[in-house]
Amino acid sequence: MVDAPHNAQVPRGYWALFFLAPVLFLALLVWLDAERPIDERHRITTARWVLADQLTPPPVNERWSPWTPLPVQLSTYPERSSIWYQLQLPDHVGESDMLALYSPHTRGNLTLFLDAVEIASGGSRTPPVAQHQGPLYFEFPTGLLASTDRMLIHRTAMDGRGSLPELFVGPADELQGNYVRQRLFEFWAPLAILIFMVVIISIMVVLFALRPGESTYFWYAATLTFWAGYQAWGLVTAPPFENPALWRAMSYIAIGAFVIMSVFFIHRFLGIRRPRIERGLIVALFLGSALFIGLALNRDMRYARFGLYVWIPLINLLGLYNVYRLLRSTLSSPIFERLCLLLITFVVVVVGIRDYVWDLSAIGATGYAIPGTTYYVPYAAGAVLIGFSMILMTRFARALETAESMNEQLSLKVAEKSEELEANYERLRQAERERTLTDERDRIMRDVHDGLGNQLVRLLSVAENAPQLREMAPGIRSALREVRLIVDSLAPNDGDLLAVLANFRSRVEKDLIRAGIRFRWQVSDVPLIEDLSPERVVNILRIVQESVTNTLKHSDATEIRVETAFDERSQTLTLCLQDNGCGITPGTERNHGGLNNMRERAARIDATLTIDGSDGTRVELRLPVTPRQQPD
Amino acid sequence: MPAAEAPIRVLIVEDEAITRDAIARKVDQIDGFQVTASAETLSSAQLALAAAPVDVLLCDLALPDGDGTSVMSYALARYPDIRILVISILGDERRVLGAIEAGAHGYLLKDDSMEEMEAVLKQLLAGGSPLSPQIARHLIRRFQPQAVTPTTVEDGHTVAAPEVSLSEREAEVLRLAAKGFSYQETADLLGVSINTIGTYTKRVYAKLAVRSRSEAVFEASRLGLMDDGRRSS
Repeated sequence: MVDAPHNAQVPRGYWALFFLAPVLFLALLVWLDAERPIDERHRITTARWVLADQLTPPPVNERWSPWTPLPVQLSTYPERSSIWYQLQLPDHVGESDMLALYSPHTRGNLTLFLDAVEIASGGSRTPPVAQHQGPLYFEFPTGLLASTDRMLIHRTAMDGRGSLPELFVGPADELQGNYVRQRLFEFWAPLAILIFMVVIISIMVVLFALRPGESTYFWYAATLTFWAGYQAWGLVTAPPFENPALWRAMSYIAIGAFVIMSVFFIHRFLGIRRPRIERGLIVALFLGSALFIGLALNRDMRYARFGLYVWIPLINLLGLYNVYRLLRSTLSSPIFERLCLLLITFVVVVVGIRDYVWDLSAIGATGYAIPGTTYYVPYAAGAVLIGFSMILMTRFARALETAESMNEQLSLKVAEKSEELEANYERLRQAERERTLTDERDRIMRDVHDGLGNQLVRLLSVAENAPQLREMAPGIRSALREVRLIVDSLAPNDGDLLAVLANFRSRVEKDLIRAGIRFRWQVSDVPLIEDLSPERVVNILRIVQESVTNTLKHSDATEIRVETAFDERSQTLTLCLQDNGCGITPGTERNHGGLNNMRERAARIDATLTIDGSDGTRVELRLPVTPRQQPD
Repeated sequence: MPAAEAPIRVLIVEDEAITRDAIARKVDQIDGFQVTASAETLSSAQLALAAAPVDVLLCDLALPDGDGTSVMSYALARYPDIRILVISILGDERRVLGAIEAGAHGYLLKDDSMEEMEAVLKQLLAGGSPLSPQIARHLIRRFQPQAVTPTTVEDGHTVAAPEVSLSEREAEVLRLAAKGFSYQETADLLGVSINTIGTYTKRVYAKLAVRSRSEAVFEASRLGLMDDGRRSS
């Protein structure tokens, strides 16, 4: 068993369908099989006969039987029959120019003679004898009856049954319709189904060739092939063998192989492994076939008894075994395919049993008549093909759906990957840009260092050592500080504002200490910032430097408190410098330009600057930032 | 360490005559320090080092005949206790950090006043190494565990750089220094004396030296330049 979810439920309505389907199917066939009403006046009701194995009509003075009402049960040689009948023509044959002889269910062959003249024949009268399961129909001009009323039928059959089948003689235009309809039901319909089978077999073989792993297709094709053979056997009217027993044995072997293959197929379909059963079936098939062929070749008529009383009952039991297997797995997991196949198989098995019982009743073994005039298994093939085609189509649709959803997933994945790739490219481009920038910065810094810096230092040395130039020294020194500030702002900062501030402190602290001012360094941790560009750094540093310079120059302060804070909600970083000096008295600001300069710089980097001079001087810079995503 | 009475011998390597003279003048003014030699080029600096021992090396980086770091390495090899300061114009990260890696203990700015130089030099000789935020930041990065990963050499065996890692306290000192806290503030925050901070700093520099050396060895063995014993077995 492949799977067995015990909570699975077979839909309730299904069981009604399960039992109804075979009944409905049989009813439909019986209805289709029913004869179109024929004027009873055309029926041949009386005949006399003579058993004669000859091809020309026996003479009038032959030892004919007495005139007997039909039907009569006659049999001749066990392996074939040859009986001459003389028909008593109905009183009323109509006024038509053309008359017809019509036999709805021939089961053998008929040849029509008028007097000594052969009018028409269903085929060969010598072995191999022609074989008609269905209707025969011969037309002849009414005028022929003017010269003689001696209508003879040479009845030949490949089995011993020599009984005269139901016969009608009447106007051609009346009987023709019945013949056409019966021919449609008994010949054209099974032929259409046979063609359909061959098509499906071809498809299955192609499927199996394309996907050799799925042996289900192979066994289904094998099942159908033997069934098609059986079907074709029923449609052949000119058997190829002279030995009629061998020809009939073929049909037993075909139907046996068909059912045994179907067991293999059902096993594969349900994922059941029963190698011993399967080996046994193969052995049985070979032994049975050998027995049939052996008996038939020896013209031993017991082959028919073996077929009817052993072979066919076993085949029906195997059909029931299939139903049992399907029923069990359908109950444990009622998926559509299994429900469908169970239904089909059940219909076929019921039809097969019906045919068997009908066969028995036709030879008088049952004592009662089974409705219908022919085997119905050939029609069941149509139902099987339709049902299994549905299964295949759902499988195909499911496979398509799977493929589509996989495609979808694939394209999603591809989209994801290309996004990732795009992001990687973006990062690479970013890195490339940064590298270019860094290289450029390095170049500028080297130039500033080697050129401007060197010159300034040299100038400073000169100025400090020449009394007349000494007053230039502070200016040069502040120029150097300026250069350092620019270089620092260009240095890679990794988005770390505290590092920038720390560096600033290390630069200016010496000057502050000299002026008697100490830093109170109260920075708290802030996240790394994505967008701490050199421009932002240089503006922040200038604002801070301006603020420190103001404290230094104007406040008489002794300390500068430096604080940082980050507000998660507004994504704002706050930097605050607070001194303990004299503050700024409103209206008496001495350093308008400086303060305005600070505000301008703040605006340039989208920051807001608050300067409060009421209690010491408090400079607060609020900077909206994008925190860097912490790597995991 | 020289005896207390003996002056600290200082070698100045600087190609700019005016700057060299200015620094020399300032150093000479500092109590207990004496410029015993000065050089304009790498080669003359090496000659000076070979001729007479010095206690402190003040060294410019851009010299006419090459990079100042080679003199530093030479000096360290010859006088393992020598203290080295880079003479820098701007004190900018890139230039100074390379020198720190080569064994320098800090830097002087060319325009530093005599008092500033005195403070730096005295701190240097007291054992503490100056720890600017930039240098601290660099050292933190330098000691991050993923900085060097094990590498498989071509004949199949794996060599890992000997792991020299910082203690929790040492790392904390570096982190605080990188955020701009002074030695005193760091000492207060950690609840230790300022001398302890100096000790930590010194240890960090020592570990850096070990790490730099072992990484050099590691690099060499990785590149197959050395026979490290394991290979012959």
